[in-house]
Amino acid sequence: MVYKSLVLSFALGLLLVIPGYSLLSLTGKLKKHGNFFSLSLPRIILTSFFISIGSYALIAIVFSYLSVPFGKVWLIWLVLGGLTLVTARQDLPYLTSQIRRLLLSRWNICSILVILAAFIILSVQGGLLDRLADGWWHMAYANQMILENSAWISHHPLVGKELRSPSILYPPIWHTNLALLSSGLGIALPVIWHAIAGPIVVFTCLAFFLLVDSLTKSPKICFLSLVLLLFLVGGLNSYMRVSPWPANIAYIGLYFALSETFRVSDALETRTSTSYLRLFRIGPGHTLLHLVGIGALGFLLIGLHGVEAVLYLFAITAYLVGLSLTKEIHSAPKFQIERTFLFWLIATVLAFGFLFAFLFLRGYLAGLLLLPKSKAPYLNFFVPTILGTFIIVLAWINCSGHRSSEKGFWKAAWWVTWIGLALLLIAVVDFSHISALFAPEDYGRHVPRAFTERFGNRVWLPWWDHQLRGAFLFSGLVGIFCAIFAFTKERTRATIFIFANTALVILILTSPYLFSMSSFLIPLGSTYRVHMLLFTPISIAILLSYMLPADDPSR
Amino acid sequence: MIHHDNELRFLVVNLLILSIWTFSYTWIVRPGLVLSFDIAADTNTVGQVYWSNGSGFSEDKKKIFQVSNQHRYVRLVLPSGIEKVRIDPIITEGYFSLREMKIGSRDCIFLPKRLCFQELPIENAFFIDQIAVENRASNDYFLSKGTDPKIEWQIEKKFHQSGVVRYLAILIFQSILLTAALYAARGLLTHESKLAGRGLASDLKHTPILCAPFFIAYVFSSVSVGAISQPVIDFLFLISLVVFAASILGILQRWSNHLKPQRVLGIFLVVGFLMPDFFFHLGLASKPFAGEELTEYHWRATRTYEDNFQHSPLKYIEDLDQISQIISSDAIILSDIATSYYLASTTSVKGRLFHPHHSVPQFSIDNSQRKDICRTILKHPTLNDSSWNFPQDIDYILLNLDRRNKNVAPLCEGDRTQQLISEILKKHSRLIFRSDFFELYKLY
Repeated sequence: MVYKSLVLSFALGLLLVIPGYSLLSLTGKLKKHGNFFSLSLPRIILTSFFISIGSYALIAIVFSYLSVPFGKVWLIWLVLGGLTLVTARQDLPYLTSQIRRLLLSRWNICSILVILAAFIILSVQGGLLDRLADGWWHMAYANQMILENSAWISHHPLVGKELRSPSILYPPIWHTNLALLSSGLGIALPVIWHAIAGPIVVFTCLAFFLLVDSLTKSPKICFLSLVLLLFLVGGLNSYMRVSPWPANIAYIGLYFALSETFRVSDALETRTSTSYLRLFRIGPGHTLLHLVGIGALGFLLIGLHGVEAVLYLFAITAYLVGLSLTKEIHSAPKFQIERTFLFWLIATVLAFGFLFAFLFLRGYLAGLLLLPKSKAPYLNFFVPTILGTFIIVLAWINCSGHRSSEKGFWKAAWWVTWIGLALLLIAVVDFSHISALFAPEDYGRHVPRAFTERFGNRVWLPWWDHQLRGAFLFSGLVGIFCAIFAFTKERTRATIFIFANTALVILILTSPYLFSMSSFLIPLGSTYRVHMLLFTPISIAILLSYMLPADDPSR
Repeated sequence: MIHHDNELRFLVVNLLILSIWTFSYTWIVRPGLVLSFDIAADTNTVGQVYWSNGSGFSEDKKKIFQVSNQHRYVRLVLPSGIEKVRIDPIITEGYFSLREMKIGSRDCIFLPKRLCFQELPIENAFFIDQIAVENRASNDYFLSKGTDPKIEWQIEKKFHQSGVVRYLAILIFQSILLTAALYAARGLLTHESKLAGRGLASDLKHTPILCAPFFIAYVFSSVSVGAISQPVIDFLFLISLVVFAASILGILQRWSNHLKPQRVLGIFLVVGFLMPDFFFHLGLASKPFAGEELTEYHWRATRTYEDNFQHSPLKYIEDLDQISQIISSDAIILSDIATSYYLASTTSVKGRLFHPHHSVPQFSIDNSQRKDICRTILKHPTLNDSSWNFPQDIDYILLNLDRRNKNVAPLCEGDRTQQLISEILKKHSRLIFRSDFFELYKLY
């Protein structure tokens, strides 16, 4: 049984990579851009994985329209598998060179061993939990797609109720993937669900590895972070046995999108041109293509589990705020380019987001404005707006103070504004809620605690229960301490990113106004998922790396 | 060349580590025995456990536990030095289920299970009173014929004397640490001159290589339960711990030359806070240290493939497939919540009973409606009374008889009630499918 489980996990891993790999390889050859656009091995695997997921969703849609049975997907596997074999001969030297490059660092070798161990353990332990959780709803949804041979369903997956029109009950991309895999292999969905945990954990580890690598460029911290990711009990991103759930596939996308964003920033930094238009031209480095890829990944995230697309926006916005308010690094050219790039990226994402909401979610948005949280005295809007204003003013002072010769004036303005911001933060944080983390008086589940605060505003705060309490006690608290310590010790991309996101998480989860405001962008029942941005394993790994002797060459 | 200062430091560091470990162990692992069993009954009631250390059972040596119609794993901490133990499963007449009884030392962390655990099967009971064993294949289903049923066991001699297993555990682990320290010292005493400029990275080099084979062997052996015996698994785990501990000690001792005190303090604080999470994943703790964490969401080294098999429909896949083939594709089946999900995920058959947050108005039935149905079946055993309040669109009733899968609760609460329902259904509806796990009835 164990052996069969391992084999099935491995086969599923291949089926989630091979289609994307063959398309990636083929595109590279047709466009004559060289092998895989110069991707490293983990990036090849993850890019292939996401292309595969998107392709399966497209295949399911085409099969639905043409009434081709889902089970016939094996024909596509046959074609793409053959294509891979044809291109493999040419790709092999590049792939082996990438493997050799990866194995140059002993820390990378350790990371590979850790990922291998995670694959074996999760393939055996699997994704079927010992308790009845919502995974069964997802399996029933995928099963309904199989029964109807369609990406849209016309009957409720559990009770069979006839739906008004072919419907989508949940972001369907991952379910279409499960439906095709189950139909193509002729294996029952629970068996697929069980076995797919192994490869998904590998992809999660690879994406996390790439994120840490893009932040720190240290194989040692990558290795430590991976170990901590697998061993710490730290909320949603530590639930390895929940890997087959759609949200967990989206977490992989979140990590990967963040790491790719930093890679674009790195690519921009290496260019000497001062014209931003020229910076994004298509050429060596393929920055524009890269950005299009990140955009496509964003759309995929929406189709997998939309919350993570918002979390991506939160994470890079927090980082941009961190960059803009950090004094010492303001003049560094690298961060100037990064700041400008992130500003335009966020502006573009917001513009597309508003356009998307205006076109497709008008009714939903209008409904939001009628909810109690949108009503007088409107502190759920005012408090975030005032906080945002303070941040913009501080960034402006930081920028102007750097350029101006009157350093004293700007320094005074800087501190006065900071004190104002600090007082405001103290006023908007619910300290009794923080104390409830350690001594909860009551428990709840996903739906947050609703109450009316002293100004008569309807607000929400999450229960310290379920994932959140596990996320904070105690690895989360250690992580927060490590993030603060690392930020005070040195200002790097990693420390600023971790610290800014940690601050954002703490503020959202402890301030009723910010939590309620966030619930306009993320469904109320999922707003607690913002704790995903704590990145506890990375902050602890960074601190542990500081504790190593200074003469260690791998630091 | 061996330097005397190094010898002294080596001795002091090891004594310190041994003392800290012994102190931590005695503080964290309290002395005592753990009695555990799985119990359920037809009614909500309480049960009692008595123990004797040679002077007989008495009211001051007892513990009370709750019993309900849902299977519950009871775990009671008893003092050391026990000679007999007695379980009074319920205090009423009626049916109850009792299984997986065992007693063991709380020190049974690193020791082979056979050394520090004693199974308490019903066949080995020393004395049974007011209890009849029901004729069921599983042999864990009983009838209490009075208000004071009791089952009594003799406890093995090793548990009679207070703390024998405990001292053994401490001694074994101290020996392991000493061996590890000696191993580590080799490096310190023979390569001192080379070590002055070396950092953790070079020290860590051998750790994964040394640990990996044992740890992988341990993981493989623990996942393939049945193929490899428990002592072998424990032995492999101990070996991997020895090598790991040796490497850590070696690192600490080599490293102590250039470690600042604040760094050491920082490491101890961070590692100290995080160790419970590592212990949990390595299977040394049954649940995370803090919070209300759901242990099922995490991987654990001691979790086996067997666990998946027992608590999921993996063992029913063929049965479910057969059921879907013998009934029409749009059939509606009434079953317990878990089986309803299993059906919806693997067949075209739809159910009616799901978790409240998945319910669909006018289609799903809730818990109170389910209880009504059970009551109705019991009250109208001929199943032909038109006045009963039975959902009209239900075509079949599927009883899941599996009691090992903890997600499956009987459709009608209480094993005895479930049995009665099964008997009524057998007489007055058509049994169209039967397997080890299922009985499927077509309603007329």
